[in-house]
Amino acid sequence: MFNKGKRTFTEDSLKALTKNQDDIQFTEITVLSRKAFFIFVNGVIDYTEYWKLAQDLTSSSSDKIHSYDDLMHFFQPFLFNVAHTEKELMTELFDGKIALVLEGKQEALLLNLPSSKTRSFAEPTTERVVRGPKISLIESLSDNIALIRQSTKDQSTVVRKIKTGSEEKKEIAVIYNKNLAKQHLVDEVLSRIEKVKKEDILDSGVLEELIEDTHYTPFPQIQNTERLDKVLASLKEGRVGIIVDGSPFALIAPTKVDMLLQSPDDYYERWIAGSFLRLLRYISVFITVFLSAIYISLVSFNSGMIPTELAMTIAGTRQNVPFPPFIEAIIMELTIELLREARVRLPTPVGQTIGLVGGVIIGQAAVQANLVSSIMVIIVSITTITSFTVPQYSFGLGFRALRFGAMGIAAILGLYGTTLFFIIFITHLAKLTSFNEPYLDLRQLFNKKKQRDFLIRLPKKAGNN
Amino acid sequence: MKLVVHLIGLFVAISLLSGCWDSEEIEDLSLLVGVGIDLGEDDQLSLTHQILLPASGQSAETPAPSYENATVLARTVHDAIREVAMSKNVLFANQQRLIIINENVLKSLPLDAVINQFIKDNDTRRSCIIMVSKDPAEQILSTGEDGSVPSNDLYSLSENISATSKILPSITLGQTSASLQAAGSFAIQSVSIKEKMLKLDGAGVINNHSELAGMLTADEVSYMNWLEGNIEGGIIVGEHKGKRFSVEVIDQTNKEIKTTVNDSQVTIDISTEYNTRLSEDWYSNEDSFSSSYLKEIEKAASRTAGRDYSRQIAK
Repeated sequence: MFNKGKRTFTEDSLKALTKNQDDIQFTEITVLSRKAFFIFVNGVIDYTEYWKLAQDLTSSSSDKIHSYDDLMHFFQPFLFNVAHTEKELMTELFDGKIALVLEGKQEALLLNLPSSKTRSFAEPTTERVVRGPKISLIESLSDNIALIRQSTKDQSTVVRKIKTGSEEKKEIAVIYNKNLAKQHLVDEVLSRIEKVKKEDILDSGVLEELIEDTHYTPFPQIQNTERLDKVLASLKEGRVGIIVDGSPFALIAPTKVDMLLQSPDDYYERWIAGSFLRLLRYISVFITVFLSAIYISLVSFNSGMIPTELAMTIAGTRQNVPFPPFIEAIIMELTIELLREARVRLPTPVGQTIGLVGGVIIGQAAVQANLVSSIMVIIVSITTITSFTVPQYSFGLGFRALRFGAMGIAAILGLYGTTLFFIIFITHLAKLTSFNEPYLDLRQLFNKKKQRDFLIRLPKKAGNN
Repeated sequence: MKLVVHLIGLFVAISLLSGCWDSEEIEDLSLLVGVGIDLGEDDQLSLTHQILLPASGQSAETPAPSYENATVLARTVHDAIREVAMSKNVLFANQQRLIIINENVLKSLPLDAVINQFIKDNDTRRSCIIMVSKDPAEQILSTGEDGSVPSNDLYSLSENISATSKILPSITLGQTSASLQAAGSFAIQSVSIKEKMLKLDGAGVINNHSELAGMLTADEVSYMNWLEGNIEGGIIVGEHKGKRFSVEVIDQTNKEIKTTVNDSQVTIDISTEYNTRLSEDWYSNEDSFSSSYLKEIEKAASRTAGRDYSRQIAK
């Protein structure tokens, strides 16, 4: 396809190479009394700048530019490289460069007039805080790195770039603090990315799956965030950030259960409020997974453990319900999960209607039709609300899925089964690793320095890191 | 992949084979809250089971729980429980909080025989309260205002010990069992019907042969509480300068028992001290801030209490 080796570029051969590429523009001009033409991909270059340049060139070509060196000098501020082969030229052309080809010359000038197609920095959409920085990462890798550089202003912050993809077009940046991050961790991260560099990575989520420790778990072993302050904080903690070009979500490795339950708010608000909210999150995780299971086991197996008055109420609401509590719970939980999924897919104005339909109509109607009991609706609503409190969305997804397992085992084995599930659940968390670091790290409880910021956050004194 | 298939197979097998055979939905059970035991005809026991009926319907306002009583004649307690299953849902004794035994039953049968089934049964809680009754237990379990459940009423009445000294600390099934094992007598709270109202009234004394030795009146229960130091609250009414006053007991501070043997004569000195509070005084020239005035009241109160003590001991 390409003409091998050095030879002169001709319009015909270049046109043949870009056949059917309708957004490639050829503009013919005359330079040094020779026929020449600009080639570029329309839209990816800064057209106004290019137009000015082309005007300057034609108007000044007669009196100022007398030789090829003059031409090189003229283009000096924009000159990116010189292409010698057609292959080189094509690669750079599709990377957003403007090629100036002179008939009969063995090289083409590559000019850099980029117009970046990125959105501006905005507020984070998935991880909102009430108080704290309101800036999030965007899809452009260079902007993201610049943002981090600007915020750290620290020369010990290291940015390593790895080209990936089948044609090595996509860059992944690995960012760490060389004084704080352990070398073996950095090496591990780099070698894992190195292994998958042939894959085409569209988003950091794809990379996450490729480099995680194990696939057989509902829990993410790598933290992802679009918050700049989270990335900066993790660099300070000696962790490694991984940013994929084209994804506003940075990956942070390694991570631990307690880190996934922390929110930046915890640090920006007063420590008592922050600690309270953090404890609330731990409780809500437990409720998310186990409340429906406990309800099922209490109603079907261990009725004696319900206080008498409550037992009467539950028996009253369940009286005309034809299903056992497990089926009842599955009906409601599935409905809620469907509503949530539908809401994510729908455009925003319609999404709100779904919330209304789901909450009011289905809940109310199902109770009135005696399909489910009103207590069950309360239980399911509580588990749904609590599942939203996990700051890391993907971590919360894991708990949502596990809830069904807990309900199933509760329906078969009752409270004994629920206890069993809890033990399996904790064992599984304890067995997981994130980049060879323990995922559920309870050693922090016994470390005087670390326990100050574990289950609760105790106030920090200056100079007491 | 093979492992996953095996796991799924295992899960399906467990679910299908085990099913939910142990599960009993709460609405399919008869929620038993109280049992009343009377003597029936032909040397039989008459057991009254108080079952809570869940409020049916999904109305917004929750009507007070209603109940029904199932009375059956049977030769033993367990027999009676099975007898009920012929007309009601299976009895579910986990929530049972009260056993009322008529005094006539205790006159013909020892207490340990009557409560034997409840102790052996792993469903009944050991924290279930035991009471004796002068009126038939069946009547007691059907007395009370509309919408209230007599078992629940009695259960909450027994918690009023902090307000009056005239009721005994509630005695549970477990404590009864323990007291029966230990030699020595003990008292069980008695309940009776006064003007269509349930009233905790007096106590029954069980001797060390687990027989009912006799009944005490409410005042006697109070004196007993004073002697045993069971007082958690209560009022002493006395007279001072011809006007009445009440003193509220707060807690016991000191108790001493001295036994002296003097020529085949045993003397037991019991001295107790209580923290109290002057809660009411009809004397118009009262001076609650002067300590000498309070001292006088104190003396009057202890005189009253002392008089009552001596009456109790005489008995």
